[in-house]
This record gives sequence, structure tokens and C-alpha cells, in this order.
Amino acid sequence: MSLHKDLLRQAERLARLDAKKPKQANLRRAVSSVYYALFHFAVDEACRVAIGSQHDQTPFRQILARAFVHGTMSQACTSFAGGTLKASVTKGLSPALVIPSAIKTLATVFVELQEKRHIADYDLSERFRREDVLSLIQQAELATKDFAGLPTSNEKKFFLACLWAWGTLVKR
Amino acid sequence: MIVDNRVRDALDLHGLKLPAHPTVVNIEAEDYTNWSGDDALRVNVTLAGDTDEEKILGEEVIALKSAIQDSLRSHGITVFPYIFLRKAGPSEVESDED
Repeated sequence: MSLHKDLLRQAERLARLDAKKPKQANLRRAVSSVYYALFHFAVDEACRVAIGSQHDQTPFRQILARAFVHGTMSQACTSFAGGTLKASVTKGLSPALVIPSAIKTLATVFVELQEKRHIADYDLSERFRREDVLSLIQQAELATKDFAGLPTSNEKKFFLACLWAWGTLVKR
Repeated sequence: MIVDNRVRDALDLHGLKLPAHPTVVNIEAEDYTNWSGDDALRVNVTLAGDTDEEKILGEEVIALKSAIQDSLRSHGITVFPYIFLRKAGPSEVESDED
């Protein structure tokens, strides 16, 4: 099974521990796991587009994967989640450019989960509820499934490239 | 950013195209700064008190969030909305320190 699916299963196991009173420690680790599931899914998809999906290309994908930056990915996803990109980014593209809903959903869930991951790891004033954590896991599962099922297109490849190129692109 | 009339109009329950389930009884927004320091919105969605949260599907939550996001965009609000769902009624306080 892929890393992102293992992390999703790990998140669910953690969230379902302690049937009567879930421990915050387990819920917080579950939130972190589901975020990293989405992070590794997005990075893997981007590396497959950039390098290729063949087995002998794995080491190249693994090297490229180390270049992804959480903050940059979040900034790109914030723009894609809204469905409209800055004019400076889309200069030269058709004004009729439409961001497919599977991309918007993945981007939205990514931004939300990154925020929740920060809160889970560092903000002890916030308490997590099991229902909310299980819902986040469900949303991440759906988002990855829909995105994986989205046929390859220029919009999809562009989004994946933006996950690593965004920081430079928005300054041009 | 300051929550203004545009935000309130965008989140008016009568204008939103929300999914049939779960039943939403109220939506409020407040200014929010995310962990990276960016301006954002915190949107608090209150669900009907008799909602069984375990029966809310992921698809329904995504559709609900998408409707809110689309409405904010169409009203010119470009900051990211972090959306929180809660049932109406007293909040359950769980302690794991016993």
C-alpha cells in the first residue's frame, strides 16, 4: 500500500482509540497523520508528472520530493482552492481557464489540514473532537480519490507544478 | 480583513446553495489569522441540534464548504475561509485527564 494510504489508516486507527473518551494526544497525532497523508499524496503525484511513474525512476522521484516546501504548497493551494488565480500567474493562458473541482477540493482540504496540523502540534488551547477528526480523514480520502481519478490535463499538470514552483512564479 | 456586509451577505442562509443534509441553522464569520500569519476568515457553521454527526458524509461536508467558498468568492471575498462545523446546543467538554 502507498505511504499516503498507510497514513490515512494510521490516522483512523488513532482517532478510534479509547472508545469512551478519546485522548487528545491520539486525536492530535491523527490530525498530523492525515495532513501528512495529503502532503505525501500531492508530492508523489507532482513527482510522477515531473519525472515519470516507472519503477526505475523511483530514486529520482524521491530526490525531487525533498524539494517541496509546506508553506509554498499551502500558498499555491490557497489560490487554486478559490478557483481563480492571480492575473500575473495566468498571463498568456485562456481567460476561460476553469480549475476542475477535484483540484479545488484537494487544494481546499490541503490548506485546512495544514492549519489543523499546526494547531494539533502546537496549540494546546484548542481541543479536538473525534467526530471532527474522522470527518477530516473522510474528506482527505475523498479528495485524494477524486484527484487521482481526474484525467491528466494541462490544468492538473499545472497545479502539480505550482506546488513546487509557486514561490517563484508569484513574484514574476 | 474586517468582517463586513459583503461577508454577511455571502453567508446569508437564504442565498447559499447548501446540500440538503446536514441541516444548517446558522453561519457566522469572524476575522482569523492563520498559522502563517495570513489574514483569513473563520466561518462557524451551526448544525441542527438533532444532527447525528457520525452520519454526515465526507461528500456532504465538502459540498457544504464548497458552497460557502463559492459564495464568498462571488461576493469578492478572496481570503481563505477556515470552516468549522458544530451542533447547536451546549458544547460537549471531554476530558482525557482522568
